[in-house]
Amino acid sequence: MGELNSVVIQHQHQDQWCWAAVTQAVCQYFGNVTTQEDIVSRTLNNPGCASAPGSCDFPFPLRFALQTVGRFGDQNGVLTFADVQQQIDSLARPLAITVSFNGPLGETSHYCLIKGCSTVGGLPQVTVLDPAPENGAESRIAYDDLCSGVIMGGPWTESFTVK
Amino acid sequence: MPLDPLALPVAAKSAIQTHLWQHCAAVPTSRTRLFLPHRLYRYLGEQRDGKARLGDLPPTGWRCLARTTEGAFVVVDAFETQGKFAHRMHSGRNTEKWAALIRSVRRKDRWANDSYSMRTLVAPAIYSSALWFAGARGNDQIFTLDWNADDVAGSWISATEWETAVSSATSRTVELWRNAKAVVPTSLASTGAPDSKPPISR
Repeated sequence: MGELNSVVIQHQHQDQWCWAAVTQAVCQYFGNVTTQEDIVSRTLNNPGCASAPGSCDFPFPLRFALQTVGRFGDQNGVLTFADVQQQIDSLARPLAITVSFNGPLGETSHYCLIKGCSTVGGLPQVTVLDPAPENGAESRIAYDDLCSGVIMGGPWTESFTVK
Repeated sequence: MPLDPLALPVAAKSAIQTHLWQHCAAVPTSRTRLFLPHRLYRYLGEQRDGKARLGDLPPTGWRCLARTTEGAFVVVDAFETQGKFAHRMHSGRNTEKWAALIRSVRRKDRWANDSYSMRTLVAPAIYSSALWFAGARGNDQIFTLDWNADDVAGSWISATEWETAVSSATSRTVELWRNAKAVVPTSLASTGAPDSKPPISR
């Protein structure tokens, strides 16, 4: 059980660009250095996003960005810890996830990346890379606590394998 | 009266020290020093009369800082749930500057007219965080934290300004996500790329 130490994430360059930051981290891990601005421009088919990124500051489904850069594997709900281990340890692939915030005004989401997994004191743990600017870049969280939402403010709801 | 002293309940302190010992191979548990412990509050869109209300927010956990054996600062959050503590340990980006900023703010000459307790206030849906100085006589002051790749800075706003801004931003973000989830590109399966722009007008 281990960590994919060469997976790194930048903070999201615009308020709503968690999807671009996660896609960029995946691209970089597989050796394709690119920018969030380029990913947004290509995904939205709008070259203007690179020169005026603020005009493209909105959320977008992660799977479409991953598909655009050719890194989308599969989309599922919450993966079991064994499945997370398979992605990280056996396949050496980070796992993108959705965290959903369901507040009184409605639902919003946030994308993060799991880059590691381990068992500490008998409890399964994951290492989460979070592009949100107000958090530290890397967090260690118990698998069950990530699933339940007690830590992030909302539960893990979707998973995106990458290739 | 100045700022209230910072302290953790014994159970939370012990849980955080144990967590650090397990994850950082730190010094023996009881000697792990925790810095700047304070309450953590979370806003997810709760409203009253069309505005967020600070006074309605329940505390969700505790936050403090610690040094690992390698000397790096980590920020540790502890959330009490069903009699146990769940933890999140932040490392990396700007944790040193985070600590320095909090210390700097606490030294300001603005605490003369009330007794204040320091809290961290997060609104995860809009990626916002702030230091909330809750005054015993209601003179709450908010220091919003502005993050970028290399630094963290902040600015003072009133509690009313925060309540208005965060409520408006959360409503807008909910609308943006509603639009995003309505995006259904038609030819993804065949071309591997979306062929429609998001139905968002700005």
